[in-house]
Amino acid sequence: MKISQKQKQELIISWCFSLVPLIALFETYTKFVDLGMNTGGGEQNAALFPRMISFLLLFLIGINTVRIFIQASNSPSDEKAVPIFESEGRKRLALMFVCFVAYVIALSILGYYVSTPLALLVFFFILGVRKTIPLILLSIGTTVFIWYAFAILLKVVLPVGKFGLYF
Amino acid sequence: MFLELLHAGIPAYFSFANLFFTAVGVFIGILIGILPGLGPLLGLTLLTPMAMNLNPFTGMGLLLGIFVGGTAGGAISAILLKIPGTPIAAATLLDGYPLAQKGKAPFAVSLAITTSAFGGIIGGIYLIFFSPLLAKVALKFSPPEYFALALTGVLCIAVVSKGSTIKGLMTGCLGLLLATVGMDPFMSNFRFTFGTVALSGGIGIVAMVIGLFAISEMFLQVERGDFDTSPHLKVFFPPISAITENFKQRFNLFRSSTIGTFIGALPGAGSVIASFLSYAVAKNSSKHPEKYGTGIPDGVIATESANNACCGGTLIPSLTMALPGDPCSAMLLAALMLLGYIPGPRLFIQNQDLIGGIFLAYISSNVFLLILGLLFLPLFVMFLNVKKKYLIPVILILCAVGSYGMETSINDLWITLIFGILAFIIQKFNYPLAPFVIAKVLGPIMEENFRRSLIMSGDHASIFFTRPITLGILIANFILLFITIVPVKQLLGRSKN
Repeated sequence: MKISQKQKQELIISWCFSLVPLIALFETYTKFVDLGMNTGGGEQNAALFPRMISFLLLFLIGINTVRIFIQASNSPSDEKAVPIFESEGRKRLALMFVCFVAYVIALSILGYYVSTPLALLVFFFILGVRKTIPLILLSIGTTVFIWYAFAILLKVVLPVGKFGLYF
Repeated sequence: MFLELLHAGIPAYFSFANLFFTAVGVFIGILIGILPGLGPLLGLTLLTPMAMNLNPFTGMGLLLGIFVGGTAGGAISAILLKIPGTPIAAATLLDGYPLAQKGKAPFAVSLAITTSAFGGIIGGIYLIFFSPLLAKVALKFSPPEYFALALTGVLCIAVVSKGSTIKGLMTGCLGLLLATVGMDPFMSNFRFTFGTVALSGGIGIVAMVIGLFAISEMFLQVERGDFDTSPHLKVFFPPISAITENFKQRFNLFRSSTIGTFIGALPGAGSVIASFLSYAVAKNSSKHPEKYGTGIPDGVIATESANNACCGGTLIPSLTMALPGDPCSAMLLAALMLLGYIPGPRLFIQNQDLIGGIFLAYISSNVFLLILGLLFLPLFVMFLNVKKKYLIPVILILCAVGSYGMETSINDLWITLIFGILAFIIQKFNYPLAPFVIAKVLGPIMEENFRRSLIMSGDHASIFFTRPITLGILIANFILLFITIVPVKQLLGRSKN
């Protein structure tokens, strides 16, 4: 039996799914036991439903594994692994992702009013907007538009950050 | 009963604010719908946080408007660019694009919009007539039946989702498991919170869905590139003949809308199946089937009326039995829950004004689709020329602010990001995301009714097999699962050989 790269990848992804039910089962057999949440009938037993679903999910992962092995033995193929990140857009995506994470962090430190125009400036630049005036106008305009929609019309308190900046 | 509902809904819904936000919803829905890769679900996820800050009637009006507008909007890009804005509009390509190629683009696009609106109105009439009847039946249901129905909802969407059924079931189970995070519905204990306050209220559905559908889609678009292309479409105005064509083909319109509503009411079937099926029926029953696919209005009417009528159809099980047929209706259901209502037949008794308001908001959305769709058509065509490099950053910021705005919590932003990454990766391996969302919405309903059933029976699982309706639904689920997992055709083929 020869397992192709793609099938190996499928197996890994499928097994990654098992992390969630395994963690859930671990919790129900340890913490839930300590708190007495795993006994009794339908009313008291908080572990019943999560356990049922966890076992079902593990069973499905088992079936998927068997399916991949049967497929590999019946019709061996040399299929290559699916590229999780396309080579062409990889750098741009990584940059965008890092900037988005930085934006989320910046929201809690600098607040919406400082971090959003800066983030937009960077996002637009990464995606190819190079002219200075449109770049600045778009960044500030979008920030003001979203602020008006959320903070003024809908009375949502936007992140004020550590400096407590708000309008 | 429907008259009572409408009577209660009229004073509650008909206010300037409600109508205005419904119109805004339709407008935004069309804008999002026409952009390839985006669709009504993205619109719903982005604007649900906004809707939660409005009163229930205004909020639901806004969301229903997006649902209707987003479903119809995809046809514009399908006809003009041969790229369906949403998969829902894929069938419209068959005749819409050739019709545009014949130099009748204004007629084709206007026809698609007017047909969508008329189809939606017919779907709405079915919704108003049939959902009270179904709710009456559903009122007789007990927890075991609700458990079985919720199971049906998850199974159906897993079975019909793209990718393999096993993968659909896996993501469905994952959604069900994640739905158990937070406070136990019966005892005041926290489950799977790992000592953090952030998870004590559970995983926010809006933060999760924004991550799953919006953030992942934006990352995929960033990866694909092609930010500078613009189709350079010329602006045009709608011809009146597009409206009259609907009256000429009233039978086609009515039949397709009926098919769309029926398919929409089936859990998991959805607009894509509805539009292709009604196209096939229209073609087969036509006197000139050979002309289908060459650019005739009949094909556009068949597909567009079906997919918008489908929205009305999908609301029938969603409102009456809390059984969403697709991720959009799951999102509407989640919004209803977030607004403090428990979807199900009791809403038809306890909150008649809300149900009546939803009916009216749905019908009004389609009326606004007709008016705004035609009035702002030049603007929508112009919007198709907007380059992606200007849209992606705006949508990313809207995702972040929307996710934060729900609970005013930065933790929700991290949840959004985590689910965005998860969806980005698993989509590449054809794991469907729709079962994930539906399971997350149905999970609490399923668990609560499962445990209530056990309480009813004194902890005997036999309750699920001794009640005829529950047993019937469970057997139907088993058959559905058996047919899709076991390759029956192949087995039959082998036995013949």
